[in-house]
Amino acid sequence: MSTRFRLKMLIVAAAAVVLAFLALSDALAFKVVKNVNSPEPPVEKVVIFAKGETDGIVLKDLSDGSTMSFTDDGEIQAKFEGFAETKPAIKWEAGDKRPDTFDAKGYEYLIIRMKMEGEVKRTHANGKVTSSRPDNLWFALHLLDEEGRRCGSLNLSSVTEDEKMPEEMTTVRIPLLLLRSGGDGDASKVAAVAFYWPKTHDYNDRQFNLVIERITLAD
Amino acid sequence: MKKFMSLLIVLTLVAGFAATMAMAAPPAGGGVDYEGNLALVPPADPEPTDAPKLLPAMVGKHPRLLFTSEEIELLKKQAETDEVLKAAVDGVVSWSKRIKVPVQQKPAVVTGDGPALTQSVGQWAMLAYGYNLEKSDNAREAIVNILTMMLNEPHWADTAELDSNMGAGNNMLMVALLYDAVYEDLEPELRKQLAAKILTHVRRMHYLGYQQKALMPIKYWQQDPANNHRWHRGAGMAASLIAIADEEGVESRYMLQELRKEMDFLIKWYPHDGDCHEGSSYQVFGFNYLAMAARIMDRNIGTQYLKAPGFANAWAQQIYYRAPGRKGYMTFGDAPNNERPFQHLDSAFFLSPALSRDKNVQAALLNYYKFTNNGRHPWTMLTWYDPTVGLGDYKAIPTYRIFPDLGAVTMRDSWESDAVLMTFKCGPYAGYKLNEYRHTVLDENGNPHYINIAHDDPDANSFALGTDGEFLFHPGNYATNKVTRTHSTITLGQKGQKGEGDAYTQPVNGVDMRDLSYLVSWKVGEQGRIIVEGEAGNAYDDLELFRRTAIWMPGEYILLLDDVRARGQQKITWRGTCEKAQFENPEDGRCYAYTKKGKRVDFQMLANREFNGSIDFMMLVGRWTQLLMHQFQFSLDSQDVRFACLMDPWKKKVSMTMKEEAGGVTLKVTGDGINDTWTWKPAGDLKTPASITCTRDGKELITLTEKDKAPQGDAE
Repeated sequence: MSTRFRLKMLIVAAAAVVLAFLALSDALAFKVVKNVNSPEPPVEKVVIFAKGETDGIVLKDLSDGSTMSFTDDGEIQAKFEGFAETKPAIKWEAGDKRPDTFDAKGYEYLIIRMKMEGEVKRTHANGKVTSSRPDNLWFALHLLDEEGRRCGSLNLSSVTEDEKMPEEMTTVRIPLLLLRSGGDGDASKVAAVAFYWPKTHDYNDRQFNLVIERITLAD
Repeated sequence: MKKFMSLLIVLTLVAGFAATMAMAAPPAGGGVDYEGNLALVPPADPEPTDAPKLLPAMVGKHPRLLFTSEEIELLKKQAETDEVLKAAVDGVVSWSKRIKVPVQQKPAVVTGDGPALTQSVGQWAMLAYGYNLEKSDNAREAIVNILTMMLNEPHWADTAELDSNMGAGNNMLMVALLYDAVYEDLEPELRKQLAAKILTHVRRMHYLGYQQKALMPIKYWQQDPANNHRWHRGAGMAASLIAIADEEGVESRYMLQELRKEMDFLIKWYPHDGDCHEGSSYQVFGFNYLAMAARIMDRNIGTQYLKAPGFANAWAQQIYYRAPGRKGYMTFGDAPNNERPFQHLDSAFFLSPALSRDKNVQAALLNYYKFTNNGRHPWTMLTWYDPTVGLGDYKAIPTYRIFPDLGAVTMRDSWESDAVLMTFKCGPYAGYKLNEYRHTVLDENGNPHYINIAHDDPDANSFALGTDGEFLFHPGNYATNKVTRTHSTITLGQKGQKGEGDAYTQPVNGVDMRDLSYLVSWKVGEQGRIIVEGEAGNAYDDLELFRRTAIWMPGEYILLLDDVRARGQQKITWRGTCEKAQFENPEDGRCYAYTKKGKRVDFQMLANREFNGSIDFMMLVGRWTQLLMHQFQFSLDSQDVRFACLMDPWKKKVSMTMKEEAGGVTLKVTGDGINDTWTWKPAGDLKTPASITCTRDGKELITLTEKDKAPQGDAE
């Protein structure tokens, strides 16, 4: 028996096994319709804010708990001191590629490139002062509608890859489905990206600086 | 880190209790109506008809609640040769010689549940042992200061639920233990005043709490026997009444009679499994108190509550739901499923082997104690840990267990820290025993009695999978909105099971919840192979049948079979919640779930109809944690579907084919050393097991037949 003939027989046998295998299976696998873990990065659709492009961006802390400004490089900055409640908010005017409001259901992600530097100083009963920086600062992001009502809310540390509030400039991808409920605002007309820190104990002194380079909507 | 963990534990307890208590909070703006509440406590009690009496040996004897002086001497002797006991004794004595408790007005323990739980019972009660183990002046001073402080306080729970909240129960327990411990060394006048004060609080708890006279809108804990908040109060009542039962001039006989009725009631309805339908986390929260009340009663008035089988079996829900390689649970119900060190309430499960004399169980509990101990040795070890049981081999304990009262199963391939653990649950809300109560003890209108299932989830036919300290399919994190779609089971679109959508689940009206979801079959084959089926069709408005079969082939693979039959066309969605999800090769159904730390389980998903696959975000919004997860969602619009999911946690490179034939399905599973053929004839109705057989290389491995029905409720 020649080697070629043996090879042919082997191929025929293998084919028969494959056919038998296929004949046995009439089950169906699935068609992928969505994958939020796709290696492909989201595509930016709307730029709400980009570093250096400050025209039409309005900064205001709704509870006067922080000082908001633009840095010399054109970043958004909010400085926190003390223990008071704080609600820094970023609003915008309509631009060429930026509507005055957006529908939280119209996009997959809100993407923020940001960092939060600083630490908490705590004065103990014996007068000693210690400093610390918890991984989770329980610093929340809110979406507000035109009336200033909250549409949704989440703790920023819960959506970062390492579950820490970024200390270095980091791109945080926030699924908008997490921000469509949880308040009485109109999520179809989001008019501000805001943050929220409740009041803390008076023996705490928050010394933080929030810096934002970019805010976009993406699919 | 330890401090952080301790703080986390305290916050966890406080927040949990506060959240539960919020259900019972008065309307906003309402203050405490002191006079109105106290006016509802009658000046005297009725004459008792059958008051229990102290056993002769205990009359006039102090201490006696949890130990006598003779038993303390024995404890000391045992500690000389038992390192666990020695560590606890040394820790308690050392702390008792150092603790300073200045007398102050309105201490935190009377202001709310949290401080009462953590400080009164978690810490101060320790002095009862500390003082009797070594009668230091410091310990005595601390005890007298605490007792004096409590004597001076007009209320032991200065809250809306005046003197009858859970904190009051804990304060009563603490005061009674300390009073009993230092009784012989108290000034007679102080002793007399304290006895009267203890009785005052017993009576307030009885009338305002148990008799529901308190001016509170919601009586959330009095409605059923399984409420662990009720057990906290029971321990406080038992300790208080037994401590003063023979005190001259103190008329406590009627209260003692009522307490025995209460304890009879609790024990009558205590499941034989000793389980908690709210999950392992709440089991630990309640068990210590029920056990303590039972022990105090048994040893002092001769009841035999501890003979109830639940006490000897309660350990199982703790050990079987411990996540391998993790200092915490992998449990259903309201539990954060985080990691934490061993605490004083955990010790109570040593009661189980003390009763059963099971050395292997003792070894399992000790193994976990040593694994999670953070250097502190809870005082309750002195109450519950019995070194005379001896030490067996925890690895000899079966690696699987069915909980018939819960309708739940856990299966692992070993007791090592890198074991694979799968949990599967298809029980009724509340478990069987509590439902039996609901339908046996009707309310005043003849309707099924209200029962508290606030911490149960709409999670029938859900599973979780973990290994080596990680969750591959997540068990949940104490959801603040209890919906089916967060669990690894199926939904119809977004719509889940009956009763979903509440922060605190309420009983489903108009049905016997035992008919909504239950285990149908249970078969254990050779080498720990298991087939278990859950039926949850009735749990959905629009399903006729939802039979999930979990097949556990330890060391080889896991097979999950779903038979879903709907009323009309529905969007049927299979859900699997995990830290990270990814598709590997959708054409042949291959996917994998993984964790950030690198654990991974591959699986293959097939169905008898065309279907779509999605990976979407799923935020698990819990009481203390928000976890951004991924979720596999396999969906189709259909009236019926059969899914087959083959999981490969042991990396055997398993693969399957699925072929539907008249009346049945054939699955071929191949992999390293595996060549199995599964014949699956789906169930004919909601109660009958499916017919399932596996052969390997032509030889039968395991077969499920109609006879393999799962046990439900207490075993006969």
